[in-house]
Amino acid sequence: MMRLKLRGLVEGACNARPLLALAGPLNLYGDVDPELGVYRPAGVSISGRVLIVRSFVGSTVAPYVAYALRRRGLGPCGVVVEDVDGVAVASAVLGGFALAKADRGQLAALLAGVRRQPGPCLATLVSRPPGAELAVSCRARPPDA
Amino acid sequence: MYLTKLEERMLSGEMGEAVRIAMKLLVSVGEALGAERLVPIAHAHVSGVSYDNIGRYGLEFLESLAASGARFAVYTTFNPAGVALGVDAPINTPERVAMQARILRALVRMGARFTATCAPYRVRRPRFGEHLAWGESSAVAVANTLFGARTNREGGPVALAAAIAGRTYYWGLHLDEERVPDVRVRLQARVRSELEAGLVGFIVAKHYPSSKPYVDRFPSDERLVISLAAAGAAQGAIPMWFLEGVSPEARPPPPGAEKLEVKRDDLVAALEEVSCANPEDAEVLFLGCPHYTTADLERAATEALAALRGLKRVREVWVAAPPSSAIRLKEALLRALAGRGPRVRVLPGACVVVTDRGRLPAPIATNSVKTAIYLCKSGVPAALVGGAGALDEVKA
Repeated sequence: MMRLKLRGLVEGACNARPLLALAGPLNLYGDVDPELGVYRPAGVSISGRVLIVRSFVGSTVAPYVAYALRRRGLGPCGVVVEDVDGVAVASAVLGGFALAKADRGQLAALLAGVRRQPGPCLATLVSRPPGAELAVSCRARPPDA
Repeated sequence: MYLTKLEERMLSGEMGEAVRIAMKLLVSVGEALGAERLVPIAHAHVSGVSYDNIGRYGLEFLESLAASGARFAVYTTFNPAGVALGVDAPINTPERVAMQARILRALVRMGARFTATCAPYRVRRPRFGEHLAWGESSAVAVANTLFGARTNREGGPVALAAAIAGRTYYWGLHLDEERVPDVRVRLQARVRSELEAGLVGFIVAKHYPSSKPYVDRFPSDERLVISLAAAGAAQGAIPMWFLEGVSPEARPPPPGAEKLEVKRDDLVAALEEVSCANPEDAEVLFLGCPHYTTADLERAATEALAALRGLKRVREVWVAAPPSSAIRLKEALLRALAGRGPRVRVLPGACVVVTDRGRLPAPIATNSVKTAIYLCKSGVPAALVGGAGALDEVKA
């Protein structure tokens, strides 16, 4: 179990949700299919998950994509970012997901740890601005089919 | 966050439900980011206008806001639509036209100028030091870089809220201390075309997606600055560039800032990386991202001729422009082509990036790095074209 104290930006709580750490920044408009809740570059679902992304980039239309995902019940549960701007916060407010900010470098050890795990990882993210906490636990082995 | 007496009344709902909702969004975003107060703005620019972007739920959001009595308190413009607003329109369907019309009607009902352009700086030129609340990431970077006006990248609904409230959260690029470059880019390639300018934007944003780069020796050509800004904001989230001799606030970054060299070979590699189609297969050439206006007649003609040189199969040239500039742009291109070559069609008030992209003819050739990035992401084959000589030689 790894725990991190973060800065809470938008309130929300996710209990033991699948963790998805994206390699780069996230452009909700283009990278995510709002009809399916799928992150296109990796072909994986973001629905109900806790995402770790470096930042929100690209289109300023992102909050509407977040809103559409929420109305379809396909949005993420929570997002942890390293760089934050108004597009990220507005996306969380309209998308109804928790948003927390990590300091630069704070996530490196966690991400390296997650990558070493053979099994899937679950994240518990509680964001109560101004504070937030992220706890991640990974299974030693992949679950049985 | 500190609020004036008036702002407290706005937030309490005393001035109507729409104003309350707008203030709630602005204060939420401002407090999350640590803003100390709000700041009055001179001009709001709303993004998230295309039905293909915001869909049924976005439409409902806008219509319910307009129906609740929301009115824009400041000068407000809005982004291109997903269908062309004119008779030349090549990709419209009746259902999409109807949905798009409802979005535009809601915006105009709230008091927006009928602009439908991603180049709001051509409709109303921002003044130095002025506070704005703009969506449209390319326009944000142009306002900060070229005019020394002050805006963050506002998410679509936040710019809408700022238009209703007449203010935005005082944070980020509204503050003097944030308007400082943090990366030094040494440009060692000639930049003469929109393609080359866009590739520089792509390269810098790929290495430093959320930076505020200083660039030495960038040409003082408004259209090239616009292409650079658009690519940097599509690949990354660059909100402001400091271009030596061009930007009113240009100054080198503090000592110790990271450095990036951009050479001609880097542009060639970036061209290959962004393109996802072969230009020789392209059926349509798309120009005007960001929108060309009547200030770009000569540039549009030059770019069209340069791009067409390598294209064998192109049947049509599509040009995106604000409705107010469409006719003169079409005339300029027809003159440049002198009756030869492909058919010219303008897309008034529209943009292919925000259309129903599944219906686009493909592959599409374009001189716009921003367009190629978004089309390729959506699975539409797109090829970059239009280097001013140097890049073409390398490719050949």
